[in-house]
Amino acid sequence: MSTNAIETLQFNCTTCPSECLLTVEVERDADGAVVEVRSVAGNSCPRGDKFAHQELTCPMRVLTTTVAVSGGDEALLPVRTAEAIPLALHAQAMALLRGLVVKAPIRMGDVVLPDLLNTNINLIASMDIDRAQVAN
Amino acid sequence: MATFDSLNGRADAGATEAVQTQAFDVVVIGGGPAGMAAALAAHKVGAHVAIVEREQHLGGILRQCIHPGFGLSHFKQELTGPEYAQRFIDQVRASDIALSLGSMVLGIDSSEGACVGDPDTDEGTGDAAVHTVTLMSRTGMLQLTGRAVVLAMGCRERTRSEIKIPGSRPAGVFTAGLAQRYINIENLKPGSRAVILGSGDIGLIMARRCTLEGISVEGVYELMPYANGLRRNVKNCLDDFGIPLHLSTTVTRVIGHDRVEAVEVSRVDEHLAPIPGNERVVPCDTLLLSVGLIPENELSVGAGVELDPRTRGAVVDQSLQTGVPGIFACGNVLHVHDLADNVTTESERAGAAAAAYALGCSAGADAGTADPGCQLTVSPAGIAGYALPGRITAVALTKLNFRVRRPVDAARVRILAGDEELFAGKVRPFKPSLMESFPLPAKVIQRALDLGFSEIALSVDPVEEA
Repeated sequence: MSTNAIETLQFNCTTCPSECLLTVEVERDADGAVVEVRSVAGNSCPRGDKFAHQELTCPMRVLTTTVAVSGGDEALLPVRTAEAIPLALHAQAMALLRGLVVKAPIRMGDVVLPDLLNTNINLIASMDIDRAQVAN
Repeated sequence: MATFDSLNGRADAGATEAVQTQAFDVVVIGGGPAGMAAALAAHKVGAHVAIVEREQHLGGILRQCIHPGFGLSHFKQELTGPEYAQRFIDQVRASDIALSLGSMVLGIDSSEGACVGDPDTDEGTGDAAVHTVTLMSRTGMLQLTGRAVVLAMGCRERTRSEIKIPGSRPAGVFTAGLAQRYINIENLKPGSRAVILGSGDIGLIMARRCTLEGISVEGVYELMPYANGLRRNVKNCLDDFGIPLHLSTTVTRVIGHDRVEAVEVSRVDEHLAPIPGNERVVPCDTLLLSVGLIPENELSVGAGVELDPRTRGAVVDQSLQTGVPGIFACGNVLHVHDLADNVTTESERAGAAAAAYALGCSAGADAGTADPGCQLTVSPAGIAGYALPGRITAVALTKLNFRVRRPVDAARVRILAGDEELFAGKVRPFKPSLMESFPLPAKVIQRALDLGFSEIALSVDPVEEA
């Protein structure tokens, strides 16, 4: 009844600088959706196994970008999601942030946008931006 | 923190005003990750420290490296570049390290005439020369004297002229880091349709950054048969966005009059020469170059510091002291690093050694104290592209850094003196994109000296698969 295919993938774990090359055996259904991660090899710690499972179900990434600043001594504020969010949401998040302007001063860690795209994850400032020095 | 706003000891009013001079133990040139770590380490052991920085802000290149991937080893958590920098900026700001921002260093004078006549420096006058750092800031010219100077100026990107891409010379050809500055700091868009040459980390990071900002990336082209950046960057920056990586392929012509209209790319053979007849034209309006970094050593050379032609940074000893006594170097001005965390570790060593030198005490500089009779030069051999430090003057556990010239699955590090093998490491893979570090035991150094050698080689030798 099933036409599930077994596929062997290789990719690097990005959890730590060791970047272990993982060999992952995955079972997919006829539509290509992952049914089961059958085996993970090549990881030198348990985080590699967890990473492989996450990667094949819903890859998560920290999104970093910039937002415009008004009244600051820099034109742009670097921002990040406090935690990884689904990679699939990054393009939508970029569209949302394009029009955002924040006011200086800003401190690293300040919440720039709470609960980004209902992920429960905040967008936070990566750096301090002070008020612009008024020229003379 | 202190600033130079309140100047003391102004010269008598007159037609010409004498250049202000301020005295420090350690003057650090550069306020990026290397300079900040060196300054904090020197400050921690009681030195009076100044940082001179060209930009208006501390942080250096990290301010534009907005992506994550920093701090995994130093802070045990993944930070963005600005977050990594801000942690050090906060520490510097909380200290009384003097800051000279928006200040360009014009030169370092280490001649013995430039002396402040400090009674503490009487012994060993040859080593106690005071270095004078001349800088230009918005308020004018200023001289900072230091018994030690730490060079932490970072590096520059190689440009089109250094790799000699034929074709016309239109607008639209940028180094990847310059495009990164435009996008992440200056709020400028360098183009709409980009080709990236070089798979170094900056090129990979910019492929993702351009894509997120709506600049389409036609592909990343790499001369070598392997990617040059970290694996995580190939995965997260190219694979995530379906951006193709074309290996053994390079840009052989730039096309366009006023603005780039296309580039011609060609496959290369095993000698990296373009194979005639398979050129392909890729339409684009922007070419980003990520083709290597060069330590920025104009000031060092001006100060009489000898450079290693392999690293293009200073030749240093185990305490990161250059050939000019009292001048130390660390970070990307010494050799190009892949991880800011490694820059921090190295620069803390340089800062501590500079402070120990300046304060004239050997406490806390155990690895830096020279042993009379220990004069070893270290050179690379096999597939090792360089070995650092190039000079060892103390019999102590010494951290050797090196990088291989090509990737190998199985090789070992060996320490050779003449035909004698003094040490052999275990067999493992090596790749050029990773700077390696190797702890050289004191007994190996002692053995080389006992055998009467003045030169050892750090050799990385591929091992035949069994």
